[in-house]
This record gives sequence, structure tokens and C-alpha cells, in this order.
Amino acid sequence: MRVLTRLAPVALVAAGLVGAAALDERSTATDAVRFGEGDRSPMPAAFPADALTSSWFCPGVPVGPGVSSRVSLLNLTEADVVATVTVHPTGGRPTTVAVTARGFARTEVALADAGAPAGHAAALVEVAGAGLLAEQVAVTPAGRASSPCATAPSPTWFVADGASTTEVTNAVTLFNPFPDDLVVDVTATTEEGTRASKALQGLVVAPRSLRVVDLGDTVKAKERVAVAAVARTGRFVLGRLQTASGARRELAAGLGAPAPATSWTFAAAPKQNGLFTRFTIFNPDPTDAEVSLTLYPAGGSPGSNSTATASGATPAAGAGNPPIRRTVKARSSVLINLAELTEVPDGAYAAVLTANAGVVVERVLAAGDGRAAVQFGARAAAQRWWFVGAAGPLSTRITVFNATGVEATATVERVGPAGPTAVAGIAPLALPPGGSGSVVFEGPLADGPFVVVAEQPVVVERLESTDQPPAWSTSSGIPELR
Amino acid sequence: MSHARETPSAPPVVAVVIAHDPGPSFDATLVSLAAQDYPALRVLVLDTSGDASTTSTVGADLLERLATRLPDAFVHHSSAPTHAAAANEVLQLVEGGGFFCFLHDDVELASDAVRLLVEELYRSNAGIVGPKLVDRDDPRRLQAVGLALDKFGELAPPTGSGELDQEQHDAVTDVFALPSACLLARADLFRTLGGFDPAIDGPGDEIDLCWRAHVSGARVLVAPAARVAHIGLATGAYDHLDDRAARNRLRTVLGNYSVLSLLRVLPQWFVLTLVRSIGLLLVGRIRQAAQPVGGWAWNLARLPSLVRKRRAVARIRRVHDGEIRRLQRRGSARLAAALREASVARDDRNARLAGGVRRTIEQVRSGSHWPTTLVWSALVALVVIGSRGLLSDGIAPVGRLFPFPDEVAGLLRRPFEGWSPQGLGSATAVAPGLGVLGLVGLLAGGSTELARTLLVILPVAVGLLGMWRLTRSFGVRRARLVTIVAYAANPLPYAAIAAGRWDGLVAYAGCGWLIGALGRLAGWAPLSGARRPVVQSVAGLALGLALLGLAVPGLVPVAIGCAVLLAIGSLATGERTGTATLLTGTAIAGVAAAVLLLPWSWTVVGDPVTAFDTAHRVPGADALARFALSGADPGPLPWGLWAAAAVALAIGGSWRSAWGARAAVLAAGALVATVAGGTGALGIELPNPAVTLAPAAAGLALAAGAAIAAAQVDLTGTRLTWRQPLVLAVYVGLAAAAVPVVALATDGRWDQPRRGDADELALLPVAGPAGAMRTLWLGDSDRLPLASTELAPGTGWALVEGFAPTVEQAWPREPSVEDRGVIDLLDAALGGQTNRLGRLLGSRSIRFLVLPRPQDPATASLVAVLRRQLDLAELDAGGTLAVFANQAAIPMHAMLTGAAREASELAGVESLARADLEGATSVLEPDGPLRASGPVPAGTLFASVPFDSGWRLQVDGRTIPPRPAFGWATAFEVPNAGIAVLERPAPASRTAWSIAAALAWLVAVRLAWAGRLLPHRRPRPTGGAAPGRPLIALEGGPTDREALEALPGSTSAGGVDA
Repeated sequence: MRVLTRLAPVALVAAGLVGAAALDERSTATDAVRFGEGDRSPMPAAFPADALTSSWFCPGVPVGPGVSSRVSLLNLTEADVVATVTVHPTGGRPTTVAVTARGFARTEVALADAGAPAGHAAALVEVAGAGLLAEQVAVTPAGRASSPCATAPSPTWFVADGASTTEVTNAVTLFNPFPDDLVVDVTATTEEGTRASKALQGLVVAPRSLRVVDLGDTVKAKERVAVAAVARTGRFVLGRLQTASGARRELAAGLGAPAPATSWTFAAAPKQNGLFTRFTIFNPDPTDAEVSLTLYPAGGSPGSNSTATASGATPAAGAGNPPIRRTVKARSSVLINLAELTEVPDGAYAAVLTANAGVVVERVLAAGDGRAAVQFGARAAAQRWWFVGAAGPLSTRITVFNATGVEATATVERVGPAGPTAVAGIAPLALPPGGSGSVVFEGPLADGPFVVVAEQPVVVERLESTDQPPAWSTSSGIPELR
Repeated sequence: MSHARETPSAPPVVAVVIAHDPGPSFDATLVSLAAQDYPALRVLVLDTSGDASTTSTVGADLLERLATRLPDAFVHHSSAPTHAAAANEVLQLVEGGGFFCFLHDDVELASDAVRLLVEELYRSNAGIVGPKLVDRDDPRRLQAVGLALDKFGELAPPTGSGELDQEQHDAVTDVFALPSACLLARADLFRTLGGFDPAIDGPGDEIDLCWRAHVSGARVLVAPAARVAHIGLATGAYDHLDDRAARNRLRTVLGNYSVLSLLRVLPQWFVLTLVRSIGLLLVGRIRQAAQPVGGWAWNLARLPSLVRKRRAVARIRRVHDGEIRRLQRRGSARLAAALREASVARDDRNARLAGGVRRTIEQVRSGSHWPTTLVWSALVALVVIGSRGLLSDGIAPVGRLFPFPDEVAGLLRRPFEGWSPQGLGSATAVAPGLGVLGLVGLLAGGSTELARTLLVILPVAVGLLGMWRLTRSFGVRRARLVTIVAYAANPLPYAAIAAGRWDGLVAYAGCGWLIGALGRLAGWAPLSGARRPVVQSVAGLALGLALLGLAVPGLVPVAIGCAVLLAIGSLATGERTGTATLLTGTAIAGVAAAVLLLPWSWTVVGDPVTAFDTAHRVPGADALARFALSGADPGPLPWGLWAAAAVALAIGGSWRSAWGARAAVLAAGALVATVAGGTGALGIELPNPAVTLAPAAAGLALAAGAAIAAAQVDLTGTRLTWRQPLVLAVYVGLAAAAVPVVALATDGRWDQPRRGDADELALLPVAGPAGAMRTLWLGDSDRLPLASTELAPGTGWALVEGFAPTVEQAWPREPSVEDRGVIDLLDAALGGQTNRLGRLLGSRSIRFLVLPRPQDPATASLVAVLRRQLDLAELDAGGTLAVFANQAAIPMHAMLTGAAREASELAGVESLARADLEGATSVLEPDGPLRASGPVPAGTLFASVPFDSGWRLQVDGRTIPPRPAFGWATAFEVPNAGIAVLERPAPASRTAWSIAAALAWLVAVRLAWAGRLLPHRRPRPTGGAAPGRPLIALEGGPTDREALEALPGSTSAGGVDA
């Protein structure tokens, strides 16, 4: 008995300590909670339905005589909503106008009418709830550019394609919608390497203002100019402004890419006579990147079902042509010109570029007559895509790429006062796995707005064509990701 | 007694001898009374012998002695519990005028003593007269020629005490008081005064009587011609370390001074007492240090009788306190005595040192106490040296070490205001601990910073004293020393100081006392020697838990957990005795403690997660076992404490092994519970590890002490076995564990940072008056400077008025509905639903959002979200903080216009998100937490406080009714411009609660003190006089002149024949 009473406490204490050790061992170290992960959209996308407020950051367009610059709003609900549009001109004070957007209607706000003086202007569009989309549209003598506005600012922005030759005016807009000072370092990467010019370092952007930085002032006569802009503190929105007036006629006025990605998808990558498709791949990281470009014929590839993926943003491996591989050295850019790829037969393709590290990829589409347009690839696939558009285009081609390994059907509809409505004569697109198809709207129907609804995640883009001036404008749609 | 010279007209004197189990000297007393030459002397012996509750008759021995020595004497058995009450029985037993001469049963009067006293009383027109007291064993030495005291009621050494009687004090002198060994009082005066104060139990009743005599205008004289020899002390009242004397002194002061005098004297008393108590604590004299607390508790428990006494004194008051003050000694009698003792000690060290000091020095000289002195000196030096930076530079506002307000009055008022300023504010109970802090500030002479410093450093010493006291019954000094060294060598309190965990410090301070109380409740040997009735023990434990809970609510459940672990440890050793009592009693005490803390405790029960401050990150088991909670990592050496404790499980017998097992189980159990709580295995949230590990620290120290006790008791003198060398492990373990603590002491601040986050915040160039806005603290719960509401595991938020939290936010309360609404707003931003968080928070007047340690991953992601908000401007705060200014914040009192006014009529997150709150202008200046005033224009006045009909706005005297604003706040539609006063008067229910709480505390104190609520019923006296009938009837006294002439040896001219 005495032994028992002696051992019992010992056993109790020992069991306790072993138990503590076991509990400690069993508790897996949980990662620290991270907030705000869910709202990181890889590209401008429609706000989720539960959003209390939604804000669209239009990065900046030229404003002035001979220029028609607008913010185009699309109300996705049948009820009217009141949006607050705050125009931030360069060298002026912001002005705010309240705009009533009718149900299922597009409302265009001319920036000049909203009080923007000549120069450039960015805009912040805010609305209660989620039912509004915004694009910025600029029409200048050099061309036309339509681009979705950003849904979130970012501390980094990148532009892959650009030049600073005598025929090209290349600038970036730095839009700071926040109440803090913004300090940004801009780095230009040319064919000769990265140049961190002092003139582009520590650029201060006052609170709630727009600053335009002409890259040509510091990076002269370069055929390739890629840009990386990093905020020392805070976040901002970067727009690119490139005007080409020589053999290549182009107005590029749209968002930069907020971050490198390992996958970029383009619904249209045609290779045919008189049409030039070029991909500019920019590796802003300090390590080399291996990239792989796969071209998917519009008609799809038979037998791809066997390796289909249901929700991936890219079709299954083997569905396209053999990949074209390149190495992109650290802090440099590489061009892949489809015309130079003799092993690729002519035809309509979609393109998917993947990389083992984050890169930034833009596609330049140029016609033989000099019209050109540049756009970033999509970084997500979705079953619903929206195009706000604006009045003016002669024709609009909407190309849909089935980004999955299963067959899909997509319908393209116009959005009118009654909501999305099928257009007579426009049949649903039957898309084989990895296949793509296009719908062309001409005349009065060409200015949209449009919505593409698919059974499977697809990637959709738009090519607008105008004749006054003769120009192309391409852009990705605005997906509904959640 | 001689009757030969009896003169019928001589004023009658009744000698009242209070005899309590009188010794042989009583015979001499009787003989001396019989020999008095005073003609009209009668003797009444009040026998207070035996237990008052059982004895009701005069003892036969006493009757026999009286019959032999003084057959004419009257005798009466008194069952009065106190000397004063017994003496007062003369008021019933003796009828008529004359004089009462109160005598001890160990005096021997000179044959003319009574006569001389009466003569002098008439001659000087005095009220009370006393003789010269000499030592009965050595009549050449004086004992007392009157008593003097200071304004605090402290007695100076009796005049002439110990001196050779060379007639140096033989002049008739006015004195403040007279020893009760012999004093003659006029009967009419005695009746007017109501006799002695019967509530005074023990020394000091004569002082109180004389004080009241002065108040009534009567003189108190000493007539040295009258000579009385006395065996005992002249009065026990000048034993400064006697508990009863201290509380009686306080009663006398509280009862006899006027209110104005009390206002002047009490603050000085507080300061002197605090200094003295600190000094006594530092030398380990805990009981004496706690005397003031006991004195106040005793007196507060007798508040009604004290009030009655004051009323009675007021009725007899004829003399202003200023005149009485002239009879008192200037300065502090105690201080003067100490200085004098020190001076005398230099001249005659062996003869004159005060008892305690002399004993201590003798013990040190003899070597019997030098280990104790050495160890305590080393520990005190460790604490002082290790805290030197804190003492010199102050405590940084880190962790939960909140800054104190400059003014203590506000703290004292808070619990009675009925409005908690925490969060967005709510009409809930405020932590009574705030009032206690106010009292501490008051005790620190109004220096809140000093109070704060003491509250951080003293808990270490209090914890050590608690362990010292806990092991007192062990009877093995070395074990006690090992216990306190092991406790001091634990890194826990120093980690708590480094991290600013005051709750951990309080837990460390209280554990020793708590375990002692639990052990006594259970009746476990050797603590059972001091066992009290269960009711008394439970009441005492409830009071202790209430006090601990007052400081740290989470300690109440922790204490119950300790009881469970101790019971398990006891059962493991096969000892079942006391466990049921322990568990039941602790549970009852826990509930009683919660009742004592009502209504505040209700808010704690409502949301223990917040109130117990449970949001924190718990380190791994290894770090917990090494008590490496924060600050410098102590390395593996604290494992030595576990090694030392383990020895207790291997050696010893009887209570040594039982306590070793209990302590080891307590330590292991506390560790397991902390680990389990941290991993979520318990399913409940626990308080901070600094709190839950404190019992482990105490358990380890106690186990080490039990091991040494076992080595001393069980192994000494036995043959050498494997057990003896094992004892060495205790010392090696302690030595190893002490190394990191000693090393840490070199830092001088226990690794506490010199600056807190609040300091960084104060440097920010931010605009706007403090108090007109709030700050939202957000981020890692461990890094936040106050208890937070959980946003996600490990991440929390808390609101404070102004920038940084103050001690008013020290006690978290259950978040109100309005507070919880902030979570919805934050979730909206964190979920990407809006980038207008500033607008959402604007109506809460949240002007700043502060995130400590923005580099931490979770906080970094929060910062990233906040940087996406369009109305939050980030301020440069230097890296240790991320600070955002909300540009859409409305001041706490503001006039709303336009869109903001319209928005104020709506509710819900959606309307807030839409609302443009710009254009609100600040109005009203805060006059306090519940009042603001100033001119206002016509319009909508917004107050950023939850809608509550208790808020009242008056504009030019006209009351404006409130309306809800933004669905939660308060607004007033002001029709015309004017001067506005916005306030929230304290509701009457708050006063009722306060009274109820005070009564509950009084009941608990009474139960803890006496073990019963009502006093024992006193048996009615059966001997002597019949009930209601006087034993002695005296004729009315003559006039002064007649009396003087009637006295033998007197002349009508007033001369006295000596």
C-alpha cells in the first residue's frame, strides 16, 4: 500500500508531463491567419454580389481637343444606381460628379464634361453594391483604345510591350487614389538590359492625383521597352499610354498588369498572311524563366477528352500544337513572332503561355495596313464575361476560347434595357475542347454592350475596329469570377 | 479599610477592580484597598474570570480571598467580553453621584492614594485624575506619570517610563490620558461620557475615555502625590505591533475627531502607514504590515457602532479639536520613538533597543537567523537590482501595464458612474478594481506613477512572502528558504514584467496565499494546526478569491482548478481527508466571490473569453515548462526546478510526502492545462499562460521545499541510502534555475522594453484633440496593449478612447452589441466587400487604426487590406506600428450636415458604406467621461455613444430628447443655437448596487473574521445584583467646597495637609 501511494503521484505527474508533450506534438503548427486573400482578383473582374461598395480605377487617358475620352459604365441590374465618378486630372483638383446609371444600360461619362482640363485624367468610379462595370475609352487621332478599369490598386505594375522610337510615344500613368503620398520606382527594361534611371526613381505622386511619366525622356530610341513600377509605400494604379504613328498605327491606353503570372491565355492568336501576331514576354524577376507557348487551333483537337480537366484555365496537355519553348533571362524580354514560326501552319489559334516563374505577357496584333493593338492575356477563365464598350466601332469581333478539356457552348448576347438579349442571327458557339470561335457584330450592333455566357470556363476577348481613325482596339472582357 | 475617620459628607468613591483570573498580587491589591485612609470608599470587584460564555458565577477562590482580605467589598461576576464593557457595568451596578476609581487587579495603592486623587480632582476641577505609577517590583522606578499621544492616536512612551523616581515628575500636570491601571473619574462625567467604549477590545479604552473627556471640556490630570505600584505594563496600547491596539487606536481616531480634523489627519496617516507597511513587508513582518488593513476592516465591520459613537461624541463636544490638539504631541509619536530608540541604541545598545529590533539583532548575532537574513537579503537585493531601471526610469506602457491617469479621484469615482467607457461605451458595471487602484494611488500620496511602479514590482515580493507564510507550518527553516528561493528562481514573474502581463504578476503574488488557504480549508497537516471553522475558512477564501478576481477575473477559475489539482494530488497519496471539504468549499467560495463582485462579475460571466483576456498565442510545451513566455529565453536551466521538485516524490513521509505529491501534481497539472488550452484540446479558452502557469511555479517551489523538509525530518540520522544524495539534486536544480534569473537581473528592467507602443504613438504628428475620437487597435492579440475581441484565431481588435489605452481599459468587459458591430464592419473590408472601411468606421469616431508589429504575417495581411482602403491614410510610425488615419471619421460630438445627417437616420452596414460623412464639425468640449459642454448651432448634434435614454442634452436649459443615429449612436435635433450640456447622470440603481455590494463585503469580512454573522449571546449575569437593580447606591456628592472641607486633613482654604 505504501509503495502504491508512493508510486501513484509519480505516475500521475509522469503521465501529465507525457500528456503535455503528446498534446504539444499533436498540435500542428497552424499557419498564421492571413486576411484579404479572397479579394485578390488576378485581373479586373466583376465584384461579387455581396460587395458593399465597388470601386473601379480607370488609370488614365488623354483629355483635350480632338480627343474623346470617356468612362463607360454598365449597370448589371434592372434598378438604377447612382455612381460617384471622381475625375483626377493631371495638374488639377479632383472633381466629383454623381451619375445615374439606368438599369441594364450603358452610361458614358465624358471626362472633359466632368471637368477635366486638357492633359490626362484618371477616374475613380464608386457605387454602393456590386452591379456596375467600368471601362475607359479613348479615341484620339492615333486610334481607339477600350480597356476595363482596375478593380484593385496594387503595389506593383508591369508592362511588357512598348517602344521608344521616334515614331512611338510611350508613357505610363501613375494614379494614386489614396489619401497618402505615393512614391514609385519605375524601371525600364530594353533590349540592352534593365535601366534604373534616377529620373524614374522615387517618383512622388500626390494623394488623389495622377502623374504621367513619359518614358521617352529617359529611355530613348529603344525597340523594346518593358516597364516595372514598384511603390515604396502604398498602392496605385498604372496605365500605359502608347501612341504609334508610323508604319504601325496604334493607341494603347489601358491597364498594366499588377503582377507577373505563370499562365497567360489569349483567345485569339491568328497566323495568316497580312496579319501579324507577336507575343512579348517580360521576366521582371532576378532569375531566368522557362516559358512555353502552346497554340490551340480554333477547331480543337480530337481525342482531348481523354485527358480533360473540368475547371482548369487551360486545356489538357497535348490538345494543342507542340509547345514553343523559350528561355527568358532575368529582367529581360523575349519576342515570339508567329510569322517566324515556320512549323506552325497558318490558321486561327488560341494561345496559352505558361512559365515556371512569373512573367508578364502581352500580345500585339497588327494588320498589314499598320493598324495594331496590344493587350495582356487573361489570367483566369470564367463562364460569364462582360464587355461594356462605347459608341464608335464599326465592327466588334468577340472571340471565345474553350479553356477546358470538355466541349462547351457559348452564347454571345447584347445587353439592352431588358437585360441580356440574344441577337438575331447569332448562333451559340459550339466549342470543342481547346477550341475557339468568334462572333462579329457590325454596324449599330457593334458597340455592345455584350455578355458571353458559356457552359464551361472560357476566355473571351474583343477586337474593335474603327475607320475614323482607322484603328484596332483589343481588350480582354470582364469576367465574373465569384 | 479604616472607618475611624469617616466623615459622612465625604464624597463617595467606588473603587472598581476588574479582576480577571487574578494572580497572587491580587491579595496585595485588596490589602492596599483595605488600608486606604479615604473615609467613603467602597470596593466593587468585577470578576471577569473564565470563559464568558460558560461561566456565570463568581469563583469560589475569589470569594474566599475577598472574604479574607476585604469582606466589605461587593463582588459581581461580569460576562462582558471586554475590559471596557465590564467596567461599564458600574453604570448599572452603582447608583448615585461620587467617583469611580478604576483599578487593575495587580496594583498596590499607597494608603493615601485615593484621598489624594480626590483632593486633586476637586482642587483642579478635573474630570479624571490618575496617580504616579511605579514598578511594583522596583518601586524606585517610574512606570508612568500620565500618557501622551500624537494626532494619529499613537502613544508616546509613558512619561517617565523606566526612570528612577527622583520626584522629577511630581508636579500636577494636565495630560492627554491616564493608564487604566488606576484612574479616578467623576461619576457624573463617566455617565455623561457613556463610560468606556465597549467596542474597544483590549488596550486603548482608557485613551478613548480620556479623549472624550477632553472633548467634553473636562480636564485630565496626573496627581503624582498619589502613588500606585503596578506589576503589568502601564498600558498595552503602546505596543505598536499589537493588532488590537492598532484597530482600537483607529476607532478612537475615527470616533473622536471632527470631520474636518479627519480630513486633515487621515491622509497623513495613510502616508505614514504605507511607508511603515512597506518597511515591515521588506523585513518579512507580514502580520504587522497588514495591521492597517485589518484595522480598517475591523472598523468598517463596525460601522454602525462607529457612527453611533461619533453622534454621541458630537453631543458632548464642548471643545474644538484645535484645543485638544494642543494637548497632543507634535509630529509622529511612533517616528519620534523610533528615532529615540535608535539614538539610545547608539549609547546603550544592549539595554534600550526596542524589543523586535533587539531580538532580531540578537538572533543574528547568535547566528540562529543568519541564513534567513542572508537569503531574504539576497532576494530583496535581486528584486531591487533587477528592477533598478524600472524604479529609476519608470514602467513602460508595454503589454497590460497601462498608464495611470494623473488624478486618482477619477479612478475612485468610476465604479459608481454606471457607465463603462470601454469600447464604444455602455451602461454596464465598471470594474471595482478601478476604485481599488484609486485607493492605491491615494495611499501612494496621490502619485499614480509611484502606485503603478509599486504594483509592478511588489507582486514579486508579495509572492515570495506568500510562499514563506505557506511553509511556516512546515517548521523547517531550510525548507522554507528553499521554497522561496525556488519561487524566486522561476522566470515567470520576470517574463510577466517583460511582457507587461500584470495578470501574471498578480497570479504569481497570490499563488502562495491561495495554496495556503486551500490547505487550511482542507485541514491538511501541518496547516491544520491553524485550522479555523469551515465557514470562516470558506469566507476567508471567498474574500481572497474576490480580491484576486478584482484584479484578474481569470484567477477565480484558476484557483478552482488549483483546488482540483491539489485534491487529485492528495488522493494519489491515499489521503482522502479534506478533499471533499476542499472542493465544496472552493466552489462555494468561487460563487461567493462572484457574488461579492456583482454586478461587474455578471459581465465577466457573460463573456469569459473576453473578460479573462484569453486571446493570446501559447508557446509550445517545452517553452511553457521552462516558463519562457517572453523576454529573454532562460534556456534549459529552468528544468532544474522540475528536477528539484521531482525529489519530493521520492523521499519523505507523512505530510512531507503528501505535500510534495500535491505540489508536484499541481505543477504538472497546471502545465498540462496550459498546454492543452493552447492546443485547443481543452475545448475552453484559458487565461494567459502567465496566469495559468503561476500555480505550476508555486507547485514546483513548494515541492522543492517539501523535499528539503523531508530530508531534514525523515532522513536525518538514518543510515545512508540512495535518498540522501538525491537531496543534492534539489540544490543543484535550484542553483541551475537561478542562473538565468540572476543574469536577467543585470538588465535592470527584467528585459522590459524602455518604450511601449503608446510611446511611439505619442510621437505621431496627428491632429485632433484626444478624447474627441477613438482608436482601433488591431492585430496579433499578444501584441495588442489591451484585451481584445477575437477577429480570427490569434488576431483581435479593441477600441480605446483617445490614442492609447489607460488603466481604465485594464479590465475587459463583455463587448456590447454595438461593439460587436465593429466586427461586421471589419469583416466587410477584410472580405473585400468594400474599400471604404474608413467610412464604415466613421460614425464610431474611429480616427486612427493602429497595428502593432506590422511585420508579423497576420498583421501584415491586415495592413495590406487597410492600404487598399480609399479613406485611410497611412502615417509613418517608424516600423514598430502601422498607423492609419481615418479621413471619414466623425468627431465624438459633432454637428452633422447634408449627406451625413441623412445617413444618420439610416441603419446598417450598407447605409454606412454609402454615406458620405464629410462635413461634420466638432462641437462640445469634454468635461469628463460622462459630460461635455459648449456652444452649438442649430442642427443635428451627433454623440458617438450607443443610443441610451440616460444621455441628456440641454441647450440653454431646455432638454432635447435623443434619437438613434446610424442605427446605434445617439443624436439630438437642436432647434436653436445655444450653450449645450451633454451628460449622463449616474442612475439611482447604481447607488443601490453599491450599498448592496458594501453590505455583502461586510458580511464576508465578518464571517471571515469571526466565523459567524451574529455575536455570541451573552449570558445574563447571575451573581451580585439582581437584573436592573443597582448593587451599590451612593448618596449625592457634596458641593466642591463642602467636599473639600469634609476631607480629612483639608482646610477650607484649599490647602492640604500632606
